[in-house]
Amino acid sequence: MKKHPLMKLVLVIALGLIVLPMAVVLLWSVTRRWPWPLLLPESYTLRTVRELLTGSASLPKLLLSSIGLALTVAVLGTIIAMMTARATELHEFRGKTLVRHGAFLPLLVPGTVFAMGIQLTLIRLGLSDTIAGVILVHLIAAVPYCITIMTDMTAAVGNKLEQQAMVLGAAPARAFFEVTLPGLLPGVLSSMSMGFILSYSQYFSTLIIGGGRVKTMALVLVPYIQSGDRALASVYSVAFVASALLVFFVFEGLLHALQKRGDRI
Amino acid sequence: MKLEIENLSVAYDTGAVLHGLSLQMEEGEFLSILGPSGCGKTTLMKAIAGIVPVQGGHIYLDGQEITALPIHKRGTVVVFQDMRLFPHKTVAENVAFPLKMQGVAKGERLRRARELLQTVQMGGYENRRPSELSGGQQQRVALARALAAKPRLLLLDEAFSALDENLREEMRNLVLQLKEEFQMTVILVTHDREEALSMSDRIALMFEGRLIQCGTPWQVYTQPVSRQAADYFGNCVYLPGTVEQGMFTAPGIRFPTEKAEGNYELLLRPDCLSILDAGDYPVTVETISFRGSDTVVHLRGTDGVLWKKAFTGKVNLQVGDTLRAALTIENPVLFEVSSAQ
Ligand SMILES: Nc1ncnc2c1ncn2[C@@H]1O[C@H](COP(=O)(O)OP(=O)(O)OP(=O)(O)O)[C@@H](O)[C@H]1O
Ligand SMILES: [Mg+2]
Repeated sequence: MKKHPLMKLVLVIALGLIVLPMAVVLLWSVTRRWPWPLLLPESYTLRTVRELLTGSASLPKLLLSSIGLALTVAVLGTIIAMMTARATELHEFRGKTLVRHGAFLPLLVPGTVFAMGIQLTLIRLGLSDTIAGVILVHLIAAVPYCITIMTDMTAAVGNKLEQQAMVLGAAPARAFFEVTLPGLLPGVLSSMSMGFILSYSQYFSTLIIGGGRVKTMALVLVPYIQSGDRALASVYSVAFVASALLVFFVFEGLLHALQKRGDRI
Repeated sequence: MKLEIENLSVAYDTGAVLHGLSLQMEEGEFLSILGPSGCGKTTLMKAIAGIVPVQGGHIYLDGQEITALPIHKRGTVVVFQDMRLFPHKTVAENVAFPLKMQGVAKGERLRRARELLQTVQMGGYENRRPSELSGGQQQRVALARALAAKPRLLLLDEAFSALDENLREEMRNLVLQLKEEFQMTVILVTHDREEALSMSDRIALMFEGRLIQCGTPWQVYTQPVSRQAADYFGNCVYLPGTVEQGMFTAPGIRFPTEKAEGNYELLLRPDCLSILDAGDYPVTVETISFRGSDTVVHLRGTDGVLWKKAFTGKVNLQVGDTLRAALTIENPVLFEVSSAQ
């Protein structure tokens, strides 16, 4: 591909907006003193790293529960999105546009307002202060995005191959898994990444619905940012971003592995 | 496999496409469906295979009603216009797919796939991806895959359209041979008139969601039921004339007929015109164009009718020559001209 001059500009902007701040956060996470107007910190420390690894919040447990929760939301959200997308893209029914646009309603209401509103319902259902309740509110935040991704993907893949598979003797479910899913796979992975990061970065809704019982990275990280201990906030931010990146990395690897395997079945 | 279609109606949300269509096919028959683009040929194939819902009518295979049977239980296999090979599978896996669905073990199904690929002259391509094949190669793989399913009824929707003339001929012969070998009943959708005329036991002519004529190639070509049917095969010339007292009369022509009195048009094709015999129908040579295997000459009759005739071998004619040609009419076809026209 020929390099477009605009491409370079986009890269530079991306660099400025993402990589530079990240570098600063990385630096801050091991800073002891960084008085103005020095370009680099005056002295460094590993206090923050020690605190992260051995501090009050146990990191492995925290990572496990956050990632476990986010993965659950990612998988469930993607399944819901896939079924919704198939319904609206491949079938004709009354109220189809209503479903298609209705899926975006949760995005119109600010997250804080939404969380407080739905808490009342969840209390009534006995789902407040439970992990199921948290999964539910995270799903509400994630599903609209997952649906957008899966709708485009489903429209692009279509059902022609599935019909052909059925014509050749495959039962409907078999046809889906044999010929449609491999085509949808990149979308499934994007949708799962989206669902994952939306759940992983939820703060307010986890706080309200989880009632402190459901602990996540974001839940621990935000108070540090507010407390003013910049170094500690930074080290948690680094851990937050690194763990999320790690999961994306695994997703990416999974996609390649599955596509390779699909190559040889 | 005996196929019976009764009064079949299919509509999309854009409107009705098939209007009460009926068709019967005998076991082992080869039927071609001819018709202009958009007349509903693909829709008919899809309705038989169960891919589109039908609004009315019945479909029977061997006397058993299949109108409501799910797609995968019908045993009818379609090779679509757009091939629809599975992009994530290799050529061999594509061909082995129907066998996989039947639960045939992996080694056995890949062996059968290799055999079928040999049959369609695609041996050696087993491990390619569909995207790494030419259009013609894809059509052959699609055909092999359809055969692997051992269809009771094979539906070919313009399955040869992406092939060049030589390969087309080969594939036509192959399909005819495989049809005998596998004892299949076959429906071929095509735009190619010669293909339909030369391959089929019967031809069905379809216009705007209706079959207007169904018969042997000879019947459909020589005894068309309407001008529309006649024109579909092209090369038609119409001589206007009248029927009076049991005789059709046009300039230079007169023969008895059982038609009612009125204005008619006589269907003529170039083979009715002979310039070797000295006759009483004068024609003038307008253009001569050499095409390699033959030479096409346009001849204008005194009645203004333009004839297009092909000659093989050297043509000793000059533009402007006037010849005394003869018209021989064996099975005259008359179409009534409605007085409104
Ligand atoms: N999925 C669909 N939704 C709505 N209308 C459709 C659909 N598929 C086909 N049609 C319409 O139905 C009519 C018949 O289509 P069909 O594909 O059966 O034609 P065809 O005879 O196979 O044409 P061609 O020779 O070009 O393949 C066309 O007018 C087409 O626009
Ligand atoms: Mg078609």
